Amino acid sequence: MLIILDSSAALRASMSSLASNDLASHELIGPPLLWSEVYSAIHEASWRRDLDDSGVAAALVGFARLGVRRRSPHRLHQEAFDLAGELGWAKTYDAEFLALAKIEGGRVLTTDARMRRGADRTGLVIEPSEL
Amino acid sequence: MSRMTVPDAARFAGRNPETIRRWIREGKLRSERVGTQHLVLSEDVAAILPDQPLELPAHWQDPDSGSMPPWEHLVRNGRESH
Repeated sequence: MLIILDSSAALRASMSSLASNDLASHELIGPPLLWSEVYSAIHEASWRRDLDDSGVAAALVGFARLGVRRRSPHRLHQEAFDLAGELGWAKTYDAEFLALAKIEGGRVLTTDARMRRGADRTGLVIEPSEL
Repeated sequence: MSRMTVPDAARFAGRNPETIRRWIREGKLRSERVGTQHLVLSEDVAAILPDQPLELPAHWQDPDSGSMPPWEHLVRNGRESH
């Protein structure tokens, strides 16, 4: 399956070898926003002392080992803009992941309840129990 | 926008249908009456649900070492603070 990793799922898989094993047989891609969010969240977790230095290193290495490939098709932002409008969302951040799934023919894997529920009707989003 | 019946909304939200009807009565959830049924928008239901986490498999909850930071909260806050 072609999987677009949402940042929340990417971060969890980065810290759990068993979770990352669930992804091993799938092709993983993400929009450029994924890298911005993953690095920012790891930095913030460190700043909040939710992660110590070894945890930060493990998360960064774990993320790199997932082997996610960056995809930025030229229609990405317009598609995200349109999807956010259809779903009644004010912002387009969540929609970037959905847009990539729509363009590339994949599914977004998320652990974020709001994205899962908010985009349920698109049929583009799955959660780990559906892998 | 996706319209749902009360039973469908209850399944979607993981709540009792009576909870959905109470939300409608209390004005928390917009509805449209069609015949004998109330129809609601899935987006409206999602918007008023508390941020309950998804039920994740155990190995997605537990890191190899230490504890798992609140990643969904951190990412969500980042997206909403821009």
